Amino acid sequence: MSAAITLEDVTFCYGKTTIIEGLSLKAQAGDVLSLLGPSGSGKSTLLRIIMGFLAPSRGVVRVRGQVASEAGRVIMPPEERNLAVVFQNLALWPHLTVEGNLAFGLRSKRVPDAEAAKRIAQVLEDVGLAGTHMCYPAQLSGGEQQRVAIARALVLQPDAVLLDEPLSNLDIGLREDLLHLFSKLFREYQTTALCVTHDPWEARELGGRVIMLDEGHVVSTGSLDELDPAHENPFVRLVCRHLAR
Amino acid sequence: MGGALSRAWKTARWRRLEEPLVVAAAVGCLLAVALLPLIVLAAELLAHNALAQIKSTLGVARMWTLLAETIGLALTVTALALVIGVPLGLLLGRTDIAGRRVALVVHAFPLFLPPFLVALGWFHLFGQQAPLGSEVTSRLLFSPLGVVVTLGLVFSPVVTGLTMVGLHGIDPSLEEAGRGVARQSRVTLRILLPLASPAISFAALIVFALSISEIGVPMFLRVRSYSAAVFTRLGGLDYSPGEAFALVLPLLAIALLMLLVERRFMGRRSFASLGMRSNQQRTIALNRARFPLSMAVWVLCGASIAPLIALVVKARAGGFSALGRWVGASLTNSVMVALVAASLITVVGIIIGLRLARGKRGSALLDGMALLSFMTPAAVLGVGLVETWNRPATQFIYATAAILVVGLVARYAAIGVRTMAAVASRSSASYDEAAAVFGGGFLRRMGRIFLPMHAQGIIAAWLLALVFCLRDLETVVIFYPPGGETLPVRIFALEANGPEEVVSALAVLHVGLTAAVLAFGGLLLRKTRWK
Repeated sequence: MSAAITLEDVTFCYGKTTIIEGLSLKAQAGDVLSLLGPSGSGKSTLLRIIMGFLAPSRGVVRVRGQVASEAGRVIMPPEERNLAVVFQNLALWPHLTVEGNLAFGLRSKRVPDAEAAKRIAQVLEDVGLAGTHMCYPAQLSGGEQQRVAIARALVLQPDAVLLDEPLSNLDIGLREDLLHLFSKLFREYQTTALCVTHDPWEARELGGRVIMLDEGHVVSTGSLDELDPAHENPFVRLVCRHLAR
Repeated sequence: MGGALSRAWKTARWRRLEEPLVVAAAVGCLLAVALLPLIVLAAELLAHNALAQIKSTLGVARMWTLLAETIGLALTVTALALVIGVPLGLLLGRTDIAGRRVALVVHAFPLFLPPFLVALGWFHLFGQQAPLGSEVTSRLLFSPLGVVVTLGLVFSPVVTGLTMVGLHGIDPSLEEAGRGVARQSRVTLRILLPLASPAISFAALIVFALSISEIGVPMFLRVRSYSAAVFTRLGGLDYSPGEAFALVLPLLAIALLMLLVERRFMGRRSFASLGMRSNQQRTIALNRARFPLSMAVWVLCGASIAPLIALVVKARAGGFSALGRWVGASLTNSVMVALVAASLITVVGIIIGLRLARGKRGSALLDGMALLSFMTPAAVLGVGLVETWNRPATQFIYATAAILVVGLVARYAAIGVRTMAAVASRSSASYDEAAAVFGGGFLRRMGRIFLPMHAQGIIAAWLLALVFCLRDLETVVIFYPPGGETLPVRIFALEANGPEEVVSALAVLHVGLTAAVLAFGGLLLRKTRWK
């Protein structure tokens, strides 16, 4: 079975600046991966390359084994990749109700109305928002909006969910609740998840493999608990100190 | 199974083509109406005979003096508009001036009228035979000073509006950081206004471009202007198209220079927001200065509409009863042409403006092209349009109202592009990206996400384009087809020798039409507000 997402030697340059260099990774179906790195390490750029909004300068991006992008070219447009995203600002469309936000993608994929209604009801129940179908995003709290955003991603039953620092604007209690919810949902829906974060604690709570990026390079891969406190990269050492507290 | 797969493949293929096809259509439209006339004109100017004509026409010192005078006049108008518009923008946009919303509407209204109608109103107030008039006031009115004051007042709302937009786009935290260590006045002068300066500079450029294009006011007030000289060589007493071609050359150079200035110093900064908290700005309390400043603002607003009241008073002396006989088809022509042109401008604006706001490749070039067409004096664009479309094969365009639509789209496409870019740049790109990731093709994304989300901005862009098309004289007067004259052209033609009361009544009709369009737009904007 082919991996949900594969990156082969991906490099991305903006003008003369190299943002990502020679990055390779493979996310198998059901994997939960965290991309951990400081600001400016190229994490969000990498997500945009995987989504298909940016073409890599070099290397290949594969989705379900098919070439989706290669050097300077987006071959498979974002809408054909069967990926779903939770943006940092959530990007819930303010003029659509919760149901409208969830139904948009289902209608684009021509899911029959009855099936769509069933899926929307189920996912809203799963995220603890049953009965909010007709609410507009502005009528919901920050935590509820977060749940709508993850529901909008999961309702499509995508091959992978990409999360771009989705919890960065929340207080610590809410973040903990939502992290547990996310982990539970990824298990239940058996979805591949790729979460970008700059918070080691968040990456550890989410579980799964952690890929650490610094200045566009992978500096460490694996479990955060196995990190070497004497690692040559200063960001890795910083993360070790942070987790040891 | 095979059939379903084939259908799915065709659908996917069509979806991929949607965006390139729609963008190509918008770009094609912009190229055909805005760039082609300038290319044809440039080619004509480079032709062998034209070079000789250029030598003889531009070899005369008188023309260069006239050009210098016209540039001086436009610069003075711009300076006056800045002197009025920047403080007003600050007062109406950020402070607690009494009745600021109404004051803004009153102040801005004359901008949406052909400026020569305002000049006509001033004439009925300060002309030799007018109620407030004397020989001195008449002499002052019919002088460069009269042109400067009339145009300065008419165009100052451009500066007011863009100053407000610039101030509105500033993240309150930038202001709050300053307020922690300095008084409001210092924060305003050293932080707010410098941050709003790209928008203010862009406003100055627009006022300069509008002033240098203006022919109605200088011709009515008997002040010589370079653009009027080009016009009279195409449609007036000094008919000489060859000379007109030669005369447009310096104006074209000025337009290119303006574009260069805009590209170098302003560009996207003139419509970008500085931060995401711009909806949380607080109102600045004027305290003891509130009363005198409110009075000053309202006096200025009174000055803006005084000429319009004078027109109504003049028209009441029998002008309205004769209106039906004199208006002809001009009202219908105006409305129909403006509606079609504004709708086209908006569609082109949505497609190119969205790309511009998102920094897509080639969009800056298209924006520059639209801007060049707007900054190019109308007389130059008019000559280019005549030269491009006045051919046997294109008479179905040139000899019909279609040429008016082409001319108006060419001149005002920049309004659609810039307004839509400003609208789109106020929302995060992630809304569009989310729609793309969740499977929407281009048309579905536009229809279900972008258009409803930005309905208010789109209506505002359409309204702005509509009133600019309705008020246009300087572009369409050069090539309007037989029987296709618009209301401003009709009034302008009658101004010299028609009955004064009737001309005033026609002017009031135009004022009423504009007011009705704006009121309808206001209602529409209110209705499209979502929770």
